[in-house]
Amino acid sequence: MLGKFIDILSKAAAVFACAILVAMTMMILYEIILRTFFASSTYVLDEFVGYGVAVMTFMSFALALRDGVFIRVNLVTANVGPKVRRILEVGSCAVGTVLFTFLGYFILKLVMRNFENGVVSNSLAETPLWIPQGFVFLGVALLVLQFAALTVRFSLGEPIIDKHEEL
Amino acid sequence: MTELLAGFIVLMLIFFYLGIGVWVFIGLLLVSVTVQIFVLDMSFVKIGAIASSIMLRSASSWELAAIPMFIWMGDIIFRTDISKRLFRGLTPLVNKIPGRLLHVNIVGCTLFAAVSGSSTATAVTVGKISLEELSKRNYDPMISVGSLAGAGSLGLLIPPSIVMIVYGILAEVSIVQLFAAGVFPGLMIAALYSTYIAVKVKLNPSLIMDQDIETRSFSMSDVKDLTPIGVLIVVVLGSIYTGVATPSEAAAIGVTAALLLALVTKQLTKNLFIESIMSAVKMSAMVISLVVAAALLSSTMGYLHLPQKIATAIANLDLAPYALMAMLAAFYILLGLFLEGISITVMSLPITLPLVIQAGFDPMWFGVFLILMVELATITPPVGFNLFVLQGLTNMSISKIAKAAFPFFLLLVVGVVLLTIFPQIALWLPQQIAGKP
Repeated sequence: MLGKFIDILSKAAAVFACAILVAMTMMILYEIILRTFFASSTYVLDEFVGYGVAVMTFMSFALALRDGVFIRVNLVTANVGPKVRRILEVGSCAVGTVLFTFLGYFILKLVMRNFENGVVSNSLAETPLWIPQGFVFLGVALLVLQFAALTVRFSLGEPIIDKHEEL
Repeated sequence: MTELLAGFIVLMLIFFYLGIGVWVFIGLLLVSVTVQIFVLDMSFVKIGAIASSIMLRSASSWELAAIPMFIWMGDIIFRTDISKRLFRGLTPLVNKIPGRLLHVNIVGCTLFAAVSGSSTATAVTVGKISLEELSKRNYDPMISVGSLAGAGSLGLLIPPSIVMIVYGILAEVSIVQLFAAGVFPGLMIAALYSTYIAVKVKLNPSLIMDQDIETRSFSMSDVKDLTPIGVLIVVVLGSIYTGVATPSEAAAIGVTAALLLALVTKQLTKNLFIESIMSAVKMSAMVISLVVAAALLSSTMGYLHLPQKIATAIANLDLAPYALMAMLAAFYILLGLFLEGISITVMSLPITLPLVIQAGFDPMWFGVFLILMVELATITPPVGFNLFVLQGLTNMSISKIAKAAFPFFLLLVVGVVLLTIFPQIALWLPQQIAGKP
């Protein structure tokens, strides 16, 4: 039940990431048009696209994990019995949960500090840094939830996703 | 000796974490955190503060934007009828060369590589039509599969290239120039492949038991078939090299051009759009996760002063530069048996790059060398993604596909040797572009 809900959230976050990708593409085209035909510029392209990449990436983490897109070395896992395999899988997910809880906590601290001190980017746009960083934190939080959900799901015996998808 | 011990510990940790099957980016983050706790004796607060700021900074990069966009562009084209068009359009062009349609694999991959940044995408796109057609015409499966495995890896070398973007960012080398540096080595490898096929078929004509040879000559309809990919190549690479666009901008133009082409050829559906963009964001999240993990790993190694110390230690060995490169090549081929390209690139660079620069090699040249190493990794078992992809297409066993790909592995090694002896193969074009002598 809860797992399903987290899947839906992961999907929604990835859709948001898609929207950011479209927005970045359009912003870059806009800049090229400004520069080529009007000898002008948005002056903030690098900065905003930079935020876009970070937010897009972190917001798609949870779905990428769920769909088995992240690569791993399966030399050992493919050659052990199903029981050991399951233990390794549950262990991997648990480790992911702990690691990203730890990292997420510090990202949250950074976001809070930037929010309270009103820290803005060192640029023309003076973007409040907590906004893009806050989205990154949301992505990490969702990743933690997905890791935790998978830990529980796999320990309850749900089939393990095996997929090769690579560049 | 302490630095060697530290280096050994890092290596063992990498093997351990990756070996137990955690995702590569988690494994690399774990190596960093473990080293920071146990070797560098850092407090949790310090580790967390360093890690969070490095992760945020390394993910917020304008150059990285080229990655999701090039992946998306490739994905859009992949979902159109490009494979069929390539096969149809190239058939009359290659029919007179010994080895005939086998060259469609090589030329098709070379062309598709110029609009795609990935090796498996290249192998799948060309292979999904050509393998079936070749087997229908009784071509020897070993050589059709092998040539596809080898040529697919050109996706990494011929610009645009995702691995090159990653290398350029980590090594602080101009991505535009790197792209240029990949062009001639890519064409050289393609030429090596085609020559090999021609000679092999000449010596052993029974490899092709084709009954009805098509003799039609190149016509307007073939031009029409090859136009879409030609337009995309010109738009993307043209915009970079005429100075209109940076790689990220060229990627945005490329996405738009691919969408427009799909629209004009009436293939743009809601499903194509949604599936391609979804797949692109997930895939690029995977790639960028590795870049982020590598940034932390690299700074951790920096705290250990590992890169300089290993570089000094190797410098004290007084190896000839070629001996050093041979050693590195062996090291990369070994890594490539078990790991995939971007992982290899990000985890080795903090150590190997300073080493190579100290030995007097050009970092841009080393980028091309590394890409070739990564190409080798895609066709070596047990872990080689082109092998996996071809297994999916043919249902042959991994070991059989690896055997089929082996001659092409050797040809790639020949390419590496040539590139090392004649670095100008890579460096000439970027120098022309930079306007340097």
